[in-house]
Amino acid sequence: MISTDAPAVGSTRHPSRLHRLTRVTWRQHRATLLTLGGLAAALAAFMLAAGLRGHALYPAYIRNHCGPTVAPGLIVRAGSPSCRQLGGQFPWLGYPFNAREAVLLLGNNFLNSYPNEVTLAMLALFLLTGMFLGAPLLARELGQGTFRFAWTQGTNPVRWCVTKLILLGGAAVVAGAGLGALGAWSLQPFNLIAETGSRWQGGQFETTVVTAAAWAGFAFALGAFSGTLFRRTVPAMAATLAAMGALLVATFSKFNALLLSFHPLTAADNVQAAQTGLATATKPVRLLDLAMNTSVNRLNAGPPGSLLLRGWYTGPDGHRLSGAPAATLIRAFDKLNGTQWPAWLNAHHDTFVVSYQPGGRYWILQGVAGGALFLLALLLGAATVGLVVRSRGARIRGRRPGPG
Amino acid sequence: VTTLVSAAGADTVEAGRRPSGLARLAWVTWRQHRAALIGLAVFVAVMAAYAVVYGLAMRGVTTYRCVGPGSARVPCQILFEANYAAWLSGFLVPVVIGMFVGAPLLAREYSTATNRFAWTQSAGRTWPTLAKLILLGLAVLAAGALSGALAQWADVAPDSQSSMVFSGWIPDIFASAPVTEAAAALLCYALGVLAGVLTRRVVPAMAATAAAFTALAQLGYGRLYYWMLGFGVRRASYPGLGASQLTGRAASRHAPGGRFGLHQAVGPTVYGPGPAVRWLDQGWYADAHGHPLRGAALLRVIQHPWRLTQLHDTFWVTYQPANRFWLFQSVLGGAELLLALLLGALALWLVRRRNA
Repeated sequence: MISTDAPAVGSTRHPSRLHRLTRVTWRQHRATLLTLGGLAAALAAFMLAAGLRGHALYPAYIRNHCGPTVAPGLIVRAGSPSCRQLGGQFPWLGYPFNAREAVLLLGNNFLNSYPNEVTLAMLALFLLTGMFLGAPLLARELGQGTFRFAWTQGTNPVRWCVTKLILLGGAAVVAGAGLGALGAWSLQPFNLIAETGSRWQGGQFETTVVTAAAWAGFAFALGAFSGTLFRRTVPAMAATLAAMGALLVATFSKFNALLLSFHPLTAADNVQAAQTGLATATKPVRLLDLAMNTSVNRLNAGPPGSLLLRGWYTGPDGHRLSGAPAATLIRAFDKLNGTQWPAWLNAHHDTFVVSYQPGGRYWILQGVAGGALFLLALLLGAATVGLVVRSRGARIRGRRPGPG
Repeated sequence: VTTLVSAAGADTVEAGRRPSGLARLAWVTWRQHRAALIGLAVFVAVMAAYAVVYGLAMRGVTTYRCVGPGSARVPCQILFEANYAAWLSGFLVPVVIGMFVGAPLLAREYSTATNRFAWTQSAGRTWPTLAKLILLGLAVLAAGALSGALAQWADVAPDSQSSMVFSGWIPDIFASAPVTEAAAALLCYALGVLAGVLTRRVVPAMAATAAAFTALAQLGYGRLYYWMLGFGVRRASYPGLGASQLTGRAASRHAPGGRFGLHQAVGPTVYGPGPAVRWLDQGWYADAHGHPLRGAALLRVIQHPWRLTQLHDTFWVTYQPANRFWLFQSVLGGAELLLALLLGALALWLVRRRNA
């Protein structure tokens, strides 16, 4: 009786192995987790405050026709007293000067800079996760030699490593997804007012619920892999910073453009030409294709919700304009203002053609971008486990104790 | 006799071959920190390459129509990168230097306990530490100055039409000038060293360095910079600026009149002929006698600012002229340098005070 009862009592007292590993993981990394969690909470609170204010004010802003219009060289906002009042209440709208600084031509107020700043802060947080949580994860054990003790206990080093990677990586992915969802919601009114923001825009595209989770997971996996590879914390952190920075630069400058320009649709859109204008080369004078990379919103004509990619002028025969007809078009553009431009094109049977990515493909492209990052993260995680399996620590674990 | 001769001979030979104390310290510093120094050189080279590519792209951008229809399109969008390019240089370079060169410098000695050996040799602890701090500090200064010089070249376009966006007086660009960036790099390095001495652990010291420098940069360029540029301002009439519709709207936020903050970098030809202004501090609408407009008179101007001259009113500004740029660079850079020296001295004092 006694002998059969004893294990039952023991099993209720002892938590499961996963529970114990979770507890040890928390104990080892609580300082980093608390710091990163605090930063994430601060960012979330900021986005929540801006989002609540924006969502509350947006209906009145539109009802009073306060939305901006485009004029040559600058974005013009309605100047009625009610719009001024609403603009003043909108979170850091800057109407038109913000508290300290004003840039008239390109706009540098909160409305314009908020999407950039919030997405930059999110990506910076993911980078910090990779550097401060991922990189020291195994590098510290390996660098300080504590793996000799930690990996020769009851738990297999591979299981130990996999559990840590899953627990901490999972936390990073969940936090990334949460921040991405909150960020997208908070940016909605800013995008709807549509001075510069759009969900297609570089930065916002990388920080939706899908891609933010993928970037967070990737950064963590990259850090863990660097730590296992270099076996020293500081070089691993530097490598994580360099690799993540390089991938971000490549994504913003190349990969995004490649992904978003995949198999676009085309449409004739002379109204768009009034806003887009034209680009020319001087010697010899000729028309250039316009790289647009702008989304369709209240300020831009085009298929709703789509991303306009490129624009070019075609003649009545449907071919790109060149030679004398192109020179005529350039001379006419210099004389006319924007509003007369579509009528001139119609009268001369010229057409402005745009290539675009339809709005319905947004989440497919998100899935491709996020899926590629998740796949990379999984590969890095697998490579980390592979390095642990091959490491001396794991071999120590597998060796039978000698006579000494 | 034999013993004496051989000993003297050996000493003479060794004295001739042995390098000086400073050279030996430099050699030890190089051996200990060569990975960090090589990494720093690679990082600065990458940043320099980016500055050159960006600067060349900037110089090509004026050939396109970036004002008017199509202004928000590529290739004009390179203009939107202006602040990021400056920020990358003025903020990221010092932070990376502080985190990866400054913070591990003494924190590693403490955390791995190698200080027990290194600081109990004949040289003691003060001179080797001081030599390390100075030698690496000089490398940090050089890296900051080089990165700043390239960023300044890349960011400050020669095109006066764009000079509101690319003026060296814009806070981000001001922070990435050679003087201020070199001083900021040294300051962040000193912060890292001090954080390492205080925490005695590398990773927390790196985190503390990044956090402290971010806070200092925010304070410096979010507050102190505008405060500094309010000193010794000149006063001039600038009707071209007052006639701008946007200036009228800015004034309307500050009813019932009087001075309001402009805090804006401006180029020489943006608002037509005017004083040699580079930084606008404050502005106010005034009547022909120079009295600030209030009430109905102000409202009339605000609603129709382009009729400023017809209404016989004018617009006054306080401003900083172009020739004071390097003066303010020296003031801000000097303050950062002084703070860096104080933090370095504090770190050294803590090292001396503690038992190895």
